[in-house]
Amino acid sequence: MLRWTLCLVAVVCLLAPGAASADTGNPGLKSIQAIAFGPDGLLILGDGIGAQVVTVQTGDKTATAWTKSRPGDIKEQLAGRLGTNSKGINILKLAVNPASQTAYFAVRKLEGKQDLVLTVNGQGKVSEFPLENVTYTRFALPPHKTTLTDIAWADGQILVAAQAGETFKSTIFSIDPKQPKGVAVVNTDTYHVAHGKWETNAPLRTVMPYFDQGKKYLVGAFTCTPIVKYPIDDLKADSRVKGTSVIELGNGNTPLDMFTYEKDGKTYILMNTIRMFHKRAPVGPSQYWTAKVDYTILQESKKVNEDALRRVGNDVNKPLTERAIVAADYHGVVHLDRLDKSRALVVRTDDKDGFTLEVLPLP
Amino acid sequence: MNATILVAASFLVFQPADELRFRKLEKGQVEVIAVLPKDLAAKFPVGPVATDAGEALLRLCLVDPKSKKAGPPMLGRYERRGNELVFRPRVALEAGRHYRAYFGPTDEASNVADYRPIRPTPGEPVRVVKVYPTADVLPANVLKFYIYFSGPMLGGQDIFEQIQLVDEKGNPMESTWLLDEIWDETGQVLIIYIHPGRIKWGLVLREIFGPVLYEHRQYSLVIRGEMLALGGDKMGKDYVKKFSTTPEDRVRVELSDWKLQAPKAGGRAPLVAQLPKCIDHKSLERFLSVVDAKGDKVAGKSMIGKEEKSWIFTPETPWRNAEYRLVVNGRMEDVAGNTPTRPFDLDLTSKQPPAQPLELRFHP
Repeated sequence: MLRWTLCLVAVVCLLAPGAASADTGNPGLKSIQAIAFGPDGLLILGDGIGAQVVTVQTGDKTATAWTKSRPGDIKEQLAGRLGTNSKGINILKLAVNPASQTAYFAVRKLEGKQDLVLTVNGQGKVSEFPLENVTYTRFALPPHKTTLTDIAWADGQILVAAQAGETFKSTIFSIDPKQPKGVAVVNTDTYHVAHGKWETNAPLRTVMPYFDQGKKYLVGAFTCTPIVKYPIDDLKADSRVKGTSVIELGNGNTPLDMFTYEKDGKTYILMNTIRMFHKRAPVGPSQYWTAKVDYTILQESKKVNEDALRRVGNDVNKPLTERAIVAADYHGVVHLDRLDKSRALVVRTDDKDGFTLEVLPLP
Repeated sequence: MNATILVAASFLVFQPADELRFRKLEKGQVEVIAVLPKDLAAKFPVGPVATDAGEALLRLCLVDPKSKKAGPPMLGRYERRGNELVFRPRVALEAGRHYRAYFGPTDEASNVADYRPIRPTPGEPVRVVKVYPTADVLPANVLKFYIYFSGPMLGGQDIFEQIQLVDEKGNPMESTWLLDEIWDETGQVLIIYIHPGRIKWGLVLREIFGPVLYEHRQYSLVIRGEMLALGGDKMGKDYVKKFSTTPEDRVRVELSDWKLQAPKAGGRAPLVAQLPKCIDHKSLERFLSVVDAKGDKVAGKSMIGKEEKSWIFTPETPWRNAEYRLVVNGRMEDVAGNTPTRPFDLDLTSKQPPAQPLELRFHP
C-alpha cells in the first residue's frame, strides 16, 4: 500500500499584474476549465489557456426551488441548446451557486472549442450565463499554458489547483482579491513514503478549504486518493511547508469533486472519484463511485502520513475503517456539488453515454 | 411583455413561404429571420428582445437524424429589426446537421423552415504534420508527445482510444494515457501524457500494470485515421511514428554535459549548444535565453536542432568581445520530465548532487 506525505514549496509571490480593479465588459476568457462560487453569487472562473482567474458578480441571488430530479438526459439538453448532440460537448465542471441554488456548468463545445457557462435552475430551464457584459475582476496567472483542475473559495481567498500543461508540475495559485500586489504561486512536491524514498510532482485534482482553531487549510485530493491538508497561512516565499496526509481512500481512483456537509450533528466530506481499476476490482456497478469521509479525520495529528488511515487494504471491498465509506446511492456520479443543507445536485452516468441531473439526499 | 406576446402569438395565423428564412453570415454563422405580422410587430420594441419572449415565437432546433424530433431551442440573441424578428444562434451551426426553425406559439402551430449547413467540399484531409519528440530512439520513460495537426481537430474523450502506443506485434498498450485533453488555442496541437502513474516509481499503477514502455523494444505511436477534424471529417489515414527505447532516464539534466560552440566576436554567427539528450522542444523555446555580462537579454532568434539535441541562437547584432551567459530556467524538461534541478522522480535515499548553476558562460 502506498503512503504519501506531501510537501509544498512556496516558490514566491511573483506576479506583477495581479489583481485589477473591477471592470465591466467581456473578460475575454480563452477557456473555462474550472468554476466555483464565493459569497453573494460571486462566480470564479479558471482560464488555464488564458492564464487568468476571473471573478464575476452574477447578481444571481434569488433562490430557485429544486423539488426532484430532472427528466431526460442533461448532457443532451445542454448540447441541444448549443445545436449539437451529447457527443458534441464535454461537461467540465458543475458548481451550484449557494445564493440561488442555480446549477452552473462549465461546458466545452467540441466543434469550435468554445467554452461556455450554462445554467440550469430548479425548474430545469437551461440558459447561458453570458459573459459579454459583466462586472468582473481579472487575476493574471504566470503566462504559461496550464490546466486548472479546481477552484476553492477559502474565506476571502481564492485557491486554484493546476496541473500539467507543457511542463509536468503541480501548482497552487493563491489569490487574495483584496491585495493587488500579485498572485502567490506555490509548487507542490509529493513524497511516496510507501517505499520510503520517492518524491515527485503530483497534481491536485480537487480542492476545498478547511478551518480548524482559527487556522486556514487547503484540503486537496490526489490520484490514488490520499486526502491531504496544507496550512495556507504558513506559506511563505522560499519556504517549505509540509502537508499532512490524513487518509487514503484506495488505489487507482482519481478524485473529481468534493465538499463538506453536516448531518445528524456530524460533518462529512463527500468526494466522487473515477476508478481506473473498475474492470479488475470494481467498487460498485460504475467506474464512478463516491466516498463519505468523517470530517474530523482532518483534525488527526498522530495517525498521519505513513500511519494515516486506509479505507481499504488489498481487497477494495473489505473496509478497514468506518470513518470512510462508500456512498452506495452515489454510484455513477460524475459531477457533484452541495445543493443545500440536506441535498446534493449530481450528474450521474449510466455508463452508456447517458447522463441525468439528480437531486440526492446527502448520505 | 412576455405574456402579452404569448397571447398575441397564439391567435396568429402564420403564413408559409418567405415569412421565415435563413440568412448566411460570415464564418458559418446564420440568422433566422421571421416577418412579424403588423399587429404583433407593434408589440415588440425595436432592438433586443428578451430570450423568453423571442423563444415564445421563434425557435431554432437541431433535428435528431434518427427520431426526426427537434431538440430544445438553441441559445442565442433575439432582435426586432423593422418588421422582422431576427434570431442569431450563440454558436455556429454544425455542417452536416439538420436544423429546423419554428415560427409560431408551439412547434405544431408554426411555420417551419429547414436548414442543413453544407459540409465544405472536402479539401485536403487533416493530417498529422509532426510529432515531438522527433527522435526515433527515446527513453522508456518518455513522458509525453506533442501531436501537431494540419488543421483544427474536434477532440473529445474518444481521442484516448484513437491514439495508441502499439508494441512490435501490433498490440496496443493498456491504460496508457493520462485522460486530460490538453489542446492549444487553435485545436491543432495536442499534448498527450503517458500516465505518470505508469512511470513514477512506487505507484500502484506501475506495480500492477508495469510501465507502458520497456527498454530495448520497438514501439509505434499510432494516431488512428478515425480521429475527427473540426467539422466531423475523419483524418482518414493512420499516422505512425516508430521508435525504439533505451533504458529509462532518471537523472537530472546536467548542464555541464552541454557543449557550447562559441561564435566569433564581431560577427553574427550563431551560438550552438549541443545537448547530449533530447530536450522537450517547448522547453527549448521557452526556457533558454542569452544574456550579456550585465544580465541584459540579448535579442536574437533561436532554432531547435535535429531531434531536439541542439539549440542555435543567432543574435540581432554582432557578438561583442565580452562574456555572455546561456541562462536555463530550472523548469526546462527533457523528454522524460527531468529538469536541471531534479529528476522526475527523486530518490530521497540516494545522495543528490549539489545544485548546479543554471547558466553556461561563453566568450566570443
